[in-house]
Amino acid sequence: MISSFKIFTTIVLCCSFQLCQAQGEWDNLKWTVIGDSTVVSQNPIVNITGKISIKGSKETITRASISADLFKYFDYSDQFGNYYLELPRGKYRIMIRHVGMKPLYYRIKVFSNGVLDIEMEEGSISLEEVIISSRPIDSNIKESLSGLTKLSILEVKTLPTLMGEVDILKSLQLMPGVSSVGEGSSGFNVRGGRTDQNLVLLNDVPIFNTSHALGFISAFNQDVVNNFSLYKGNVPANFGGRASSVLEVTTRRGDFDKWKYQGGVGPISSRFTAEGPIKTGKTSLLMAGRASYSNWILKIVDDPNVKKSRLSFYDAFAALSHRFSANSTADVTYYTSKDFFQFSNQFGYNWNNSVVNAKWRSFSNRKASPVLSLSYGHFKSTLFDPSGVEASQLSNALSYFQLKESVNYTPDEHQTIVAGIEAIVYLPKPEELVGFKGNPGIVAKKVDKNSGAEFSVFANDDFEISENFSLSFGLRYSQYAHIGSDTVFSYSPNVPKSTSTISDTSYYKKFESIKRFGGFEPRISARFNVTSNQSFKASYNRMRQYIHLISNTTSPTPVDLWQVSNKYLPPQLADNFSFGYFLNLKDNVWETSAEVFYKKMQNLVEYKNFPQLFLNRHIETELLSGRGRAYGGELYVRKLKGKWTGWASYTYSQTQIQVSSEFESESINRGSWFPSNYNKPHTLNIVTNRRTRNGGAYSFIYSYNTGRPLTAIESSYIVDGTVVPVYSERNKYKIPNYVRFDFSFTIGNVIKKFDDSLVFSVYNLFGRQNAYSVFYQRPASNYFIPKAYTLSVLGSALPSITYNFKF
Amino acid sequence: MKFLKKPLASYLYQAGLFSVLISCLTPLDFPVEIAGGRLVVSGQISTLSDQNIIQLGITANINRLPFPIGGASITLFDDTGNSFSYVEGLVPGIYSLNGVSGIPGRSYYIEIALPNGKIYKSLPEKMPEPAVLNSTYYEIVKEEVVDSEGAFTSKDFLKVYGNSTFTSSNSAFLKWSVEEAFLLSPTDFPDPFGSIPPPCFVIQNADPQRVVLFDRSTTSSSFINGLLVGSRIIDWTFLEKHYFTTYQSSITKESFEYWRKVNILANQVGSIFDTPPAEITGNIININNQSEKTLGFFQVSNQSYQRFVLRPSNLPFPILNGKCDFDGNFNTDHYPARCIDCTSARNSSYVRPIWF
Repeated sequence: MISSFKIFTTIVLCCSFQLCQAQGEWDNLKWTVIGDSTVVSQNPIVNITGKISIKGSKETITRASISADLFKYFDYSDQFGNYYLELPRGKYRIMIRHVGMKPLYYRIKVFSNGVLDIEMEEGSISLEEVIISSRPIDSNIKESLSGLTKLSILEVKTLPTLMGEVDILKSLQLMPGVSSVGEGSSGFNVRGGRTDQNLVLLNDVPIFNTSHALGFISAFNQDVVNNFSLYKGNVPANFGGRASSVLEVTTRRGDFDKWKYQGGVGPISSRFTAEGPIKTGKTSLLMAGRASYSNWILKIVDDPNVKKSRLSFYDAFAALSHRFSANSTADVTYYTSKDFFQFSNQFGYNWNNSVVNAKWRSFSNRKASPVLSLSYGHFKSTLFDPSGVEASQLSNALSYFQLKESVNYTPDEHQTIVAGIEAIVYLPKPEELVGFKGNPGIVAKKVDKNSGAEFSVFANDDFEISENFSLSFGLRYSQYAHIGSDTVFSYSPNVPKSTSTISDTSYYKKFESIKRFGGFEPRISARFNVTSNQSFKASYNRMRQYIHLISNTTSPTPVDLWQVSNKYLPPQLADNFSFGYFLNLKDNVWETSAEVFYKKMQNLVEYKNFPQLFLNRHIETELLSGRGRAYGGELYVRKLKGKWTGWASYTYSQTQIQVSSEFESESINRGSWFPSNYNKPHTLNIVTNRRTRNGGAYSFIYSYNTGRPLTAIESSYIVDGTVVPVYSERNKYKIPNYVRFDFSFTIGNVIKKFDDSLVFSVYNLFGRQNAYSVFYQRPASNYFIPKAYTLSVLGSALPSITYNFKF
Repeated sequence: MKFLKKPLASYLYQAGLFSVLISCLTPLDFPVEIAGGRLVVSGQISTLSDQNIIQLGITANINRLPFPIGGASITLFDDTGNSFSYVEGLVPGIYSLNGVSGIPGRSYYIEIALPNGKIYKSLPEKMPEPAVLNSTYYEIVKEEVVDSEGAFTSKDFLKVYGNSTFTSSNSAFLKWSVEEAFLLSPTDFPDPFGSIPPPCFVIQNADPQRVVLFDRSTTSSSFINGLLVGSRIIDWTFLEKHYFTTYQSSITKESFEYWRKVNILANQVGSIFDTPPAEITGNIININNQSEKTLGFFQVSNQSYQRFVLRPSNLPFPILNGKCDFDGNFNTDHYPARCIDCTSARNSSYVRPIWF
């Protein structure tokens, strides 16, 4: 009783203090006018909407509270930073609050519906108080979803970088449960899932290639990214189409009030962003570009072939945002990227992504706000041989159209329902071989690729049953069809599929349904709070995937094929289970968690030995179907506040695959379970950050993991003079363990009265020659047995300096 | 159609090579479990009667080349009921069949009886039609290579090229290789009798790790000009005349597939752009135990060749190192082993080719 009284008294005193403080703030403020004072609305109730974001970065803030007249009218900002207040015309005192941010106060006169965008500043300049977070500080305890990783671009910007390139994908790999095959590899693996099992969404549009420079650099420009969330445990039902995880990347809107510019100059690329109003308060534009000049690095390598090689990329982004009214906004975003790589005059790749998205949101009714999204994407890759009379190029391209309509319904502050439909059509172009630059010596060849259409309907209900118990329950039903026009081969039963066992050929007309798949995908996550600072969460997901990356290399390459499901390639199916304990300590200064997971995967795409995957009309004769399992545990400790912030994460994980068949040629490792290419059981990452008074920071990263699996040479023999190695069973051995230490130092306000910073970063500070892979070569031409060497791609300390500016 | 001559694996290999070239290599003591005792068969029946050679070996359970198998009986059968026996020569494990030429359109297989009583058989292969190798030529170029210390140095290379033409009846699958033959003259130590030690002759594949393949179905062209078929560093072996013979072999589709896989494995660099390596299934089976895994391939090969000789005077520079000349020192340890006993060199013998 006494303790309850103490708590009550404390709350009252705190509130009183804040309100008194607020009263003082309001008294000094000018009136802000909302709406048109010359128009007298018939409706006495009006709406105020807007977006709450962090000043400077424009990063939106989720669950910031906005209240009018001391909580008489009240709302929280949603996941996009949007809020909605419904109140009578009149004068109000507005207070906006969010943990870690300075409270903001307004005095407003409301005449009609209107917009009030709000920019909050970080909570305090005191080193003890700085918190950078895109979510409420105790959301890890209170959110229903388990396995949700959110990072803000501000957090990522403080981390050490490779060659000065801020990389959200590499930053995610410092979090528990996220890894990759190795440094410089493209894609990432989440809780034992494959790289193609991650749905990467840029403003709701799937992106098929997420990296530049063969995987060394992320495709996302730091200046346009707002937030990114990785759903690795429970994935809400409004996302689907991949079997493992969802990475949702959202970009910023341009400033509606004045033109601003920012950019950076780094050792291998530079970037520039301009944003501002086309019509003040109504329409804004944001344009950003990034281009590389990385060839100088290749020129300092001794090897003459590398000296003659070229590597370049660029990406561009544009966002046009318009407010039709106080209740309705539309955004059109466009992203394009292009990469080029040529190895001497011997071969080269180029690949490009383009996506455009148009989105309309309505806030006319806070309880039900619809979002309509239309998208188009195109991914093209080319492998070329530029030299000689046989110069040629092989191209693959995939176009896709997506429609998504969803409605957010919030009956009260304890419940949020999202429901909608989604349709996506994949229309690949024929795989095509032609002469390079019109070389007439090449006989052109085309192989048609399969098309497919996916339709889904979903609903997800996130509700608090009580203060201590909440449930997120979702159901998604997806239906997929392999559609014509196409030629489908049938094969004789009870023998391995090959061109010699084709028994029949069927032809299908354009858009004719050839093969259908579908099913329900339940998504359940529950949270139980033991106390206000600790909770248990459990989740179960089923996810289906109808498009697959045909990649038979350890790390994906830019020219890998995307193949939709067909008669011989059923959808991948994954069942994901996770359970976690979450505990915050010292008034949420420390976040900790321990999670375990188990993932069961079916219909994984594997390959026969030495498959011919390109220009193959019968690609199904080279593919195998396997099953997989992944399990492990994750420990996570994070300090959010104080002079030193940062986190430590440890992951134990095992990922295995089994491909068995009655035919030896369709089995791998005689049908036994074997570890996947990215199976690295132990991973430890420690990230620390210390902010300095002038806006600068020190950061350190320590990264350790056990080596990935390797298929090693066990013996050799000679055929017609050629030494042929005899390899072990698939992934029987492992490469040496990996340790890396990075450091960065940021100096803020380099030039007086100028908002800028200088980032000095050293990747692999101690120059450790970590094994990227094991490399075999014969020490001399008269030495027949190949010897093993560790291959280190980034085997020395790599310093970089990047200058960032804003004006 | 380089794309199909050099399939994707080749480009991935080069992408891997790129990552290797910009990176660092450190020797690694990498313990592996080796299970030896597997039969290795490599050989052919050719339209050239002096090219009918089969090599038999058994893999070791340590990291070394297979041990040769001597005393085996190898019989060649054709589809008309003829049979011929390969005869083991002076070098253990190497069997040859002289005086017999393969005939296009006829099928062949071999039966191997090992001294331990096991009997193996190859799957029948039909001798393809020929394709014409019109000419072969060379050029001398400088290239950067990595030395044993990891540093780049410039070396002189002999590049061998071939020109070929086809007709519609020609074989669809071709393979090229370059054989070299050179002389090894041992050190002539002064002796009271003035005897001169006999020279040795080395015959071997000049560029064994290069597997040059071509699938004619991928092109409508009736010729290939300037195809690089071999590359050889210029060293002391060019101190005396040095022959190069370019062989063009018309082979079966199965044989082509086998060599395509050999090419992938022989050029794997261990990068993350490598395709998963695997064992190559050949065409040799144990007739009593078909589950036994053997290695290698017996092929039928319709061959044509072109030869040229390179003398020291043809080189634009003198060869200064590697001579076996007596320099006044009678200590045999002072000289390379090949200068004392020229048969100690790999693939060396006293047998002089008739054309040398």
